[in-house]
Amino acid sequence: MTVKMEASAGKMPHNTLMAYGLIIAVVGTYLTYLNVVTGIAVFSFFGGIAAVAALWWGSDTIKHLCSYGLGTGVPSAGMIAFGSGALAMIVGTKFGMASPIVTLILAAILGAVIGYTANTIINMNIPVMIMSLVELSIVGAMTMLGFASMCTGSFNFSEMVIGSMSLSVESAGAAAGGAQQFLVTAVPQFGNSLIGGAALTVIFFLGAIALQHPFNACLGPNESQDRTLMLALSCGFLSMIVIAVISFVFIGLLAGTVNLLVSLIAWFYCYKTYIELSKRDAFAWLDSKPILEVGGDQ
Amino acid sequence: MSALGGHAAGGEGINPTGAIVGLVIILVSIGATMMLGASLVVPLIGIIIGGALIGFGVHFVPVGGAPAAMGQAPGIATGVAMLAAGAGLAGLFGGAWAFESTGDFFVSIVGGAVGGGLMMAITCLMVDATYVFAMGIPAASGKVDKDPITGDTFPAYKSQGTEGHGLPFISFVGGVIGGLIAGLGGTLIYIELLEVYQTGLATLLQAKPEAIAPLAISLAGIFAIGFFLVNAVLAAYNITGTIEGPHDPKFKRVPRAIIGCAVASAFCGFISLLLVVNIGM
Repeated sequence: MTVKMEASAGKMPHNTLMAYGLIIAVVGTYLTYLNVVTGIAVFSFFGGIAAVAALWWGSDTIKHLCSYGLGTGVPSAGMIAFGSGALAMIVGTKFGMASPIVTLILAAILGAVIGYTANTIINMNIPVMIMSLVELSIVGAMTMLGFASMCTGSFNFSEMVIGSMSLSVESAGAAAGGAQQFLVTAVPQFGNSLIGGAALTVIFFLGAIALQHPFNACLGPNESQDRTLMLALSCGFLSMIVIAVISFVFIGLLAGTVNLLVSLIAWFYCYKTYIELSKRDAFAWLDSKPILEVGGDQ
Repeated sequence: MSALGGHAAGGEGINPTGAIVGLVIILVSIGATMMLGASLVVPLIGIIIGGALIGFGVHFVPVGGAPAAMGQAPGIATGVAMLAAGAGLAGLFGGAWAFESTGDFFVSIVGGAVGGGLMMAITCLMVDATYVFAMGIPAASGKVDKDPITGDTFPAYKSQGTEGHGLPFISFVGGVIGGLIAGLGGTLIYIELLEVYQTGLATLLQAKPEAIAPLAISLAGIFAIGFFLVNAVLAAYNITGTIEGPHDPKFKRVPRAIIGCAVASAFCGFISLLLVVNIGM
């Protein structure tokens, strides 16, 4: 494979885009820690911003990978990204304050092994395969971590698996003097948490759809980078709206409303811009007339 | 975009360097898991077998892609990853339900296989009905002249300029077998992970096993979906596009996918088993 299609060269270079995406994703996830510092959960929406930044970067990576002939369609790249990202993200959250960094490193290693498998063992022989799968795996993991921290207000494993505490009262027997004594312990409930309630599966597929759709929808001869990336932002914020609705359960009314407002406003702006860009690109084709059919009498 | 890039597959054979490195990755993963705890090795081997079964099963499924939707290639008109995910998740539901109600290992994996096979059988039936009664195209394979099972001949029914069309009987059978094998593999991974998490997380979070059950089920489910998608997409990369079923010449590539899926499953399995080890936190 030596043919490489530069669908829209000359715009923002991929490495610059990757640097922005990665930095915003990590910093945004860390900014949700402001919830712990200030004691109110209204900073959760930074997690969503982090996830959308990762999706924005991932859409461009998918463009690079899928411009080589995979033969399997664009969505498969989104699926493998989140399949490996989910593993890295759940295990990565166990590391407390270091969670986002550990998630990133785990995802990179996982992506490298899967990329090596696809490229060498399965004989795909695509030059950007390993690097693309490393990037996609990180994108999947950081998107899930961002959305999960937006939902729960934290990037710690314990906050994602413990939904609430219930009190368990046990009789501790009668003490001297005849008074009955009770032993009260707090028992964590796992079933109503983000992971225990399997809300993470919704995050998984919302992220995967947002990652695989933009390039799949925009590919073609007049694909332009800014339009594809604007659609990526639009899809990301659309998923973020749903996550914001889920987050009402976990972080309460005020923070949930902030999440919802941020995602609604951002989605509206991005979608409006995307429609404008689509009209611009459609107008650029105005002069390219269809091939005229020459009739019998001409 | 794939049509513009040309085909990317590097031949049919196995890459010896890749296979050896893959074997090393599998052995290192098993060794590292043994360092974490000797009881985790058996589940990891179950996960590797499950992953290899998924990679094997996906190759039976007749995948037509976009050309099939236009009646220009045989098979089901969607991509490998979508079909495999459909069959695998249906199998996973069947297996998980069987495990919850019986608790028996063999009943559960057979339940998973039946779930996946049933899903593919219904899909193939409806695809056939759509092709024959809605699109008006007969089933004709482009790769073989005669159906190996029924003996039907195809060349007279094949339209010129196409690679065949519709869903021949052999592809139907292949789809059901693929669903059975992939569903079995997915359920095997789910049950191995569930058993590890039920005991492991109870110790780690200091909670009773019955309290931890919803968490263990969710985690095993999410991880099983993740494993399934990784393995299905690797198999799809091996197929590169469309395959008609077990009679297709591309089916000869299957050993490569089995090695690849085993390697990816071994390493992913090692990462997923890190969850129950007392690190971090």
